[in-house]
Amino acid sequence: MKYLISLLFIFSQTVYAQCSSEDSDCVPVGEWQFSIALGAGVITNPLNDGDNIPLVIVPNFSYYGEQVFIDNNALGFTFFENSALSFSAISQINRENSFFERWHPNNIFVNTLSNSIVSEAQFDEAIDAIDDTGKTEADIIEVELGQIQERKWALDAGLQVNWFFFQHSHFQVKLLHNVNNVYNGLNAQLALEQPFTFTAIPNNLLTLTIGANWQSKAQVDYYYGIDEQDNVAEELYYQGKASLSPYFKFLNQYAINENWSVKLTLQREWLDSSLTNSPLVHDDVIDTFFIGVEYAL
Amino acid sequence: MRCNIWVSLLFFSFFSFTVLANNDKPEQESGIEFSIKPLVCIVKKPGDACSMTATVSWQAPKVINSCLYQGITKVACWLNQNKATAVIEISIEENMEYILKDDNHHIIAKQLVTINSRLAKKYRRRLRAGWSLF
Repeated sequence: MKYLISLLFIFSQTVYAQCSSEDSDCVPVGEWQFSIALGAGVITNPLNDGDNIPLVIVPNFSYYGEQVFIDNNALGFTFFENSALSFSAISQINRENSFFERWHPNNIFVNTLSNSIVSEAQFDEAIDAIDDTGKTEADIIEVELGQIQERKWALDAGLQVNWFFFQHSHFQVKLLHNVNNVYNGLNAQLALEQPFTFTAIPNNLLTLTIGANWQSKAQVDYYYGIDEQDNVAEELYYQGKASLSPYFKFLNQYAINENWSVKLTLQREWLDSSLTNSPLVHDDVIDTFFIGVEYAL
Repeated sequence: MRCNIWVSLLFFSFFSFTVLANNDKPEQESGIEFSIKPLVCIVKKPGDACSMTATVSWQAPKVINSCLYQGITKVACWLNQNKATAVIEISIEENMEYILKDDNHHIIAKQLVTINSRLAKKYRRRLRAGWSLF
């Protein structure tokens, strides 16, 4: 690792991509960027009994220096950049554990009264359904979050390549390895992003993204696998395989003025069968929805 | 009648504009020639403070008492003169207006000293796909 960092410094070469203040995908070098979005939204949780992640206040921050950058949960060092390509060493927090956390919406800006009523009704409904079918608890091949051993947050590090082509098209690849000894495996992320502007609505920016999240067997096994460490019957043990989950994202931003904009984002990720086959997983998609206003400082 | 009101408004607007325009150029009214050289201060990078030596000179059609202000700070004064030249030290962090006032505190001339950086603000691409939490 020490040698890798030394090599990065020796061969580091930064040629600024042609960028101007007018480009929405460009940021000034050496300045912090802060914004906060306020609205309503959710990231659905595919796990049995998993809490959806509420999106009410969404902070966003970044700092891009000559080579170092911080962008929300990612820290990076760009060692080569030209007008089309950029290579960076990055480190970022792995997403998967967010589904295993108990998100208490009541503590995160949202009133849960309606949620608890729905949960109770859903619970009664489930009991009725079990009674009607004559099934016992042993027949339900689902494992809930409360039954398993706690999963940990993982920190990953690796290589990120950004390729800018045509009219603001952007292709991004990340290949990361776990570095804090949580799952000791790899994951990769691919994203192809295309922004669209319309002359009829000059202040509007629509961005469509297609992508895929790849998880190695080690990562799937750590988060979605079930073994003797989990407090469940042996029949429910599950061993994960590598997974590839494609997604589609729609993001629309309408700038009201220099500071305020309206944001709408919709995303659906289709989970690979190696994830949905896990007794922990209930849904085969992860949906993200947010609508709100954003204030940029 | 309505037509007359519109004509009056138009005339009044034009007249107001003319008065404002004249107020923008007090030296034209007073006949004073006022200059600061150089008018642009070059710094290394955006946000740096500027320090430079500049030459201020003015010439009036009659003898006057006058003072030079950097914003609201008095820099130099002259008594009973119709022209003067002075070398001043300029130390500013943003564009600054230098104002020449008479002894009644009326603005008789002004000049704007601006700061330009040798290195323009640099921009680079954001290396993150879209707006996302993870």
